[in-house]
Amino acid sequence: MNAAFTTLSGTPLLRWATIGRRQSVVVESLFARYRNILLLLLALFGQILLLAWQVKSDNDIPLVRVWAVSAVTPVASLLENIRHGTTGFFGNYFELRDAREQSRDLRSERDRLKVENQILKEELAAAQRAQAMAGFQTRTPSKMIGARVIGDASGMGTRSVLIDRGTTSGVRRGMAVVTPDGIVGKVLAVYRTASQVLAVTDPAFAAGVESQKSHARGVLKGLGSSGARVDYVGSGQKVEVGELFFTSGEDRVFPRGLPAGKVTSVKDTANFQEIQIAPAWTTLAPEEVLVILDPVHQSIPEVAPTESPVFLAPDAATSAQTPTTHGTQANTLMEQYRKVGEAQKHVFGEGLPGSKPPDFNLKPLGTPAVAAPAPVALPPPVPPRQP
Amino acid sequence: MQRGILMDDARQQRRADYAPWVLFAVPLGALLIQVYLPLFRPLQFVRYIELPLLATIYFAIMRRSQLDGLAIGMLLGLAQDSLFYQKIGMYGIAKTMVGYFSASVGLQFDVENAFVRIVLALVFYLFHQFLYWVLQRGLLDQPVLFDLPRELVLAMVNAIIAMALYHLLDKLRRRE
Repeated sequence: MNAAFTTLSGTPLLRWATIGRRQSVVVESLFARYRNILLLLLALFGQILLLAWQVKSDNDIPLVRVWAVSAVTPVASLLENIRHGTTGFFGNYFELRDAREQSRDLRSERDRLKVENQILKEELAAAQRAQAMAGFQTRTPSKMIGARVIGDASGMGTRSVLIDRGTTSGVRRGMAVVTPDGIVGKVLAVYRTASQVLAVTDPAFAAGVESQKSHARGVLKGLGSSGARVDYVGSGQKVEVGELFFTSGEDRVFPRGLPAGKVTSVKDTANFQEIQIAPAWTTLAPEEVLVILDPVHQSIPEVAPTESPVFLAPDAATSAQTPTTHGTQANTLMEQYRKVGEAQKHVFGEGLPGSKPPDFNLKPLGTPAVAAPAPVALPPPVPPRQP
Repeated sequence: MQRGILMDDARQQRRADYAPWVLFAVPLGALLIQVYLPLFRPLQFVRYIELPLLATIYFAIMRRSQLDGLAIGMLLGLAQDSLFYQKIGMYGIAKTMVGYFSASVGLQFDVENAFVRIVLALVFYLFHQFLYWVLQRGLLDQPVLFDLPRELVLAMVNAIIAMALYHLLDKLRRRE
């Protein structure tokens, strides 16, 4: 090479070669000098392109999500299982240690009982939740599967949770997630052993809903941290504060008839009403949820479901006399009224206005109790009166 | 003798070295804590502590390398985007810039000084939140408000936590 340059010394070829080499050195030194800022710009540009592509095509990048979720959810699931397994162990450990240290002291006895009481309360609460879930599954026609919440993946503008059921359990994207208290959200992404659920309060969430009394239809939308609202309810339709909204089934995600939330405020505007509702999700932090695998529509109850607690053991006196019935509170009431009518030979729907109604206070035999926990014996049957 | 906040000797210019498992486990732990702990009602405040951001700032300033800060910020941000199920790149862009600029600023200061660390954590928390808000409005067209008083309070809380956290993380450094 040097020999070639030597022989060509003084010719234009040598001058061009020298200029080219100088330019290459300049480019290299420029790159070395601005390498970091160039790489920063490259990284930002790449991510902006990625964002633009997602926004434009409404597509997702599942591979990146699968990596991140696969890295975190097994550890979260493991931690949750360890916590569940060791709660009882450590409870007993501390209980025993306290009892040994202060065995002759009445104060320690009281403390121990307090701890025990707390553990029992927690166990009772867990059993009640399980029974409520089982009861809800029994009286709901949709096919469901239970899942445990293993992570809260809420960001600045999003509200979502991770559950421990995935494709191996039959969960698919778009399935509805509920609790006996109401809807929780819908499955946004499914992995092998976990799923991401978009919460009802997320701004991207939407579901078709219908009010209980006036059957006004609208679209439920999340508001981030401050609950949810119902859009597109015409200003002429009557919606009251405290009224319940149920899913209407029009969105093909949630079956009709599931509680969506309670109205907290209604403001009438020119075309539509501004309706704020409080979904059960904002007031409860459920540990267990149900994923609806096969949704079946049901009717919206006429009477608002009351907050009836679930009890572990039924009252012996009541259960001996009353057959157990499955169904909603409305079904129980309807059954009770039917028996009251039969006992008094009253046919509902007949009789002129102003005629004497049946006595609804009578409790004929076989009438199911409306309030499950009432530990009182049923009154003796009263001879039926003629209407 | 009280040490100054500006770098003035070779000790302060040294780049901190960590075992590979620390560089993997600490960011993963930060993500895990943010996802798992808010499940429990008494621990829901954890949602407001930006542990992945604090980890990004820490490693960026201690490694004294803009490229390391950039890489850590970008990876943590993209992982956070994936877990929080939002458009991939939102936290990625914000944390990439935080990683890069915190490393750049950290080159000028004695980053082992507690006061410097608090100030850096506070300033970069606000920078991160503001950048995220700008991205939300500018790129995603989401009508989100920037609640400055709230962000200031959260920035201070995060900065105080950062001081304690960085003290713990210092113990994971490799001995020279």
